[in-house]
This record gives sequence, structure tokens and C-alpha cells, in this order.
Amino acid sequence: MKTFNMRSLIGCNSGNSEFAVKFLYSDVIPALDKGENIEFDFAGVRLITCSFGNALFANLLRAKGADVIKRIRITNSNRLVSSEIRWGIALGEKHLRETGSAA
Amino acid sequence: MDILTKKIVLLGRYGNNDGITKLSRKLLIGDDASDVEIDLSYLRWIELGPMTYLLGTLKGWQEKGIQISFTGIKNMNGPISYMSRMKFFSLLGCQFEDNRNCNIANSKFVDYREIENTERRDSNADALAESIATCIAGEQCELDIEDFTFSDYLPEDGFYDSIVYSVTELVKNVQQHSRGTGYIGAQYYPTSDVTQIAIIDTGIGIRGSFIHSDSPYAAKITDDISALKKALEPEVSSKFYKNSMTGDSENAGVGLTFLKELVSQTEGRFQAVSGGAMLYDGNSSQLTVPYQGTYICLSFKRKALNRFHFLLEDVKVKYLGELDTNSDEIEDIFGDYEHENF
Repeated sequence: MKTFNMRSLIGCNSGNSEFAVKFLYSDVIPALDKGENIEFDFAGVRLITCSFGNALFANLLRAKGADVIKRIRITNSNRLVSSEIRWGIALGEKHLRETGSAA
Repeated sequence: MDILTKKIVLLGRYGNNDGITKLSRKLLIGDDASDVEIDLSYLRWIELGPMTYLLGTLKGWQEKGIQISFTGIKNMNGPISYMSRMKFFSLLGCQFEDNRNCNIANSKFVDYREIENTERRDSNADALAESIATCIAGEQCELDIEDFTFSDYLPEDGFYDSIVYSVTELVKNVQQHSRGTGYIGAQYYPTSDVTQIAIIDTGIGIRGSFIHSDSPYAAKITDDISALKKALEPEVSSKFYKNSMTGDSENAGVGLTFLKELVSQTEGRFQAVSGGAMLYDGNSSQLTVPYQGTYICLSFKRKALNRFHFLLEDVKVKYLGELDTNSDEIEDIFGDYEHENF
């Protein structure tokens, strides 16, 4: 299993959706493709924006399909961060229902 | 080459309500002006929004090689002192400042900060959001991440979080779309409990951004007003992320939509200008002189923002629909690190 310390990657607060997309394709998806499960540790992260949650989690589902959430784990997220992650995943699922498949 | 000096006299009061419209009528210089003199002798009052609009306009002129000078600023009367403390003049190359700190005069303000559009811009956006929120809302507890982790039950500060959230979205908007330089300032008025955040850029405007990014919406946008309204619709963005490995990724396109709705739910006001279009509290109008970039000013009540986390949930449901964010599959990814199904 691969653990990403999100505080060290994005700081206390982040709305940096450009970074989220780069991180998704350069680190997260390659690790998944190697067969690793992923833990996103949000200890010390106070806030992410909806743009960030969508860029990372909705695009993860768009790229890898709905079953990918069985291979990820979210730890130490506060209510605001958890909410953005939930919405990002739900938006990704919505996209998959509307388009029928992953990218 | 002949020097053609244009003189502009700013008279009276420029509030957020009508200040932009009044300024737009004044800020007409023609294509041949090489020097502009701004006379502030008769300026009696200027609010954050119009001041920001004036700053963006003058910075845009400077970028085109036009020289800017001021008269009537020596007496440091009320509005001049305020503009000076906001670093309005120093950003325009006029070096005299009133170096008082940001917590005086029974109000809290954040002087103008430049928004970087360089490779260092990522840290710039986060640092800006935190410093503005700290100045306006006060210090937050320092996190000791060695010993401390967030849980669902820690105290929250909706006001602080709402400022961070708003500034982050506004700054990223400038960095991702404008192709220009941005400036942001903020003010909290304790007496009225109102917070204002104003941001402006010298870029290509919203319509220009749709066109430049080859957005599918560009063909349907006929003028600046339709571009501005389109940008405020949910799940509309001119930005797609190109990725050579997997194709494109979508931008959520909800940043400005959410901010506009948050303002609406907190007895606040939302004002935006791009090109010749102005939107204020839902009413659109045409400016006398178009502004090349984009300007946004948010005003909201602090008290209402204490419920920021709940308001944000309501906004998401309103604009993204009743999605199931608590399904068993989603619940399973949170919580115990050593969950047996993991």
C-alpha cells in the first residue's frame, strides 16, 4: 500500500486543482497500475476546495472507473475535507453513469 | 514622438453601489494618450471595490507603456490615506506610504497583494489565502502535525475558512484563466460586520478566456454579458487539463458559481466586471468604457459565515444536484486504516 501525506504535498489549505491533476497522473494512477492500494492521509490539512476535490477524486474515477474506490482509503480528514472528497467521488460516479465508461 | 497628456479628475464619492459605473465614464483616454494625470484633489471617499477597479485600470495602462502620475495627494486626506495604506500608490510606482499596521482605525484591512502568474504561483495562492484570512479573521491555532491530527469533531471557524476558500478560488481563477497580472485586497468593517474582498486582473477577460481555450461554449457566446453569465453557471469552465497519457481531465467549473451563491446566502453582494459587462446582485449592465480584464468584489456578513460549512453543503446540493455522497461504497473509504475489507 502506498500512503500519500497530503499535508506535505498541498499544505494546510489548497484549491490547487492544477496540482491535483498532475499528482493524479504522475503519482496516484501509476501506483494503482502497479497494483498498489492508496491511502490519502489528510492529517494537518484544514481545507480543500471543491475544485481540488473534483480535480483529484472525480478525475480518478473518470480515469480508472467506479471500482477504483475499493482500492483507496482516506484517513485523518476533517469534516470540510471529507465533504469535498465525497462530492468529488459522487461527481465522478455521476460522470461515469452519464458516459457509461471510464476514459 | 509627441507626448499627449490626458488629465482625469475624480470628484466626490465612489461607493461599491455606483462607483464602477462612475469610474467607467471617467476612465476614457483614447488610443493616443502617452501620459495620464489623475487629479485626486476633489476625491472625498472611495470604497474597496472602486479603488480596486481603478488600480486594475491604471496597471493595465502602465502595461501598455502609458505613464501615470497623481496630483492632489499631498494632503493625505481620508481617501488618500486609505489608498496609501492599501499600497495603491506604491503598486503604481508612486512612493509615499502611510505605514500603519492592518488593525487600526477600528477596522481590519489587507493591502493589495500581487497575484503571481509564474511557476511559483501555487505557493503564492495558498500563502495569499492564509495571510488574508489571518488578517481579516484573526490568528488560528498553529498545527503541530507531529502530535495532532484533525478529526470530525474539532472546533471549526466558518469565517476563517470561508475567507481562505473564497480567496483561493478567486486567485486560482486569475492564475488559470486571465493571462494577466492580478491584485487582491480585503477589508472588514466591524461596525457593519461586513467583509469585502476585491480582485482584479489585467488579462484577457472572461470572453477572451473562453475563446483562447477553444471552449465549446465560445461559439455560443455573443458578447461580454453572455460570457460573464455563462462563467457563473455551474459546471462551466474554459479550462481543461491536457494530459498526454490519458486524455483530458475536467475542471469542476464551480468556483465562481459557489462564491456567488455563498454571498447570496449571507446577506452579501456580488459584483463582477469583464469587458463591457457588469453584473451586480444579478442585474447586468453595460459599461461606458470596457475593462480589458476581470474584476470581482464579494461582500458578506461575518455572522452569517459562521455557518460556512453548512452553507457550502447547501450550495453544492443546489448546483450539483442530490448526489449520494454517503453511499456504503463511499463510507467504506473513510475511517479505520485497517478496515478488514481493505
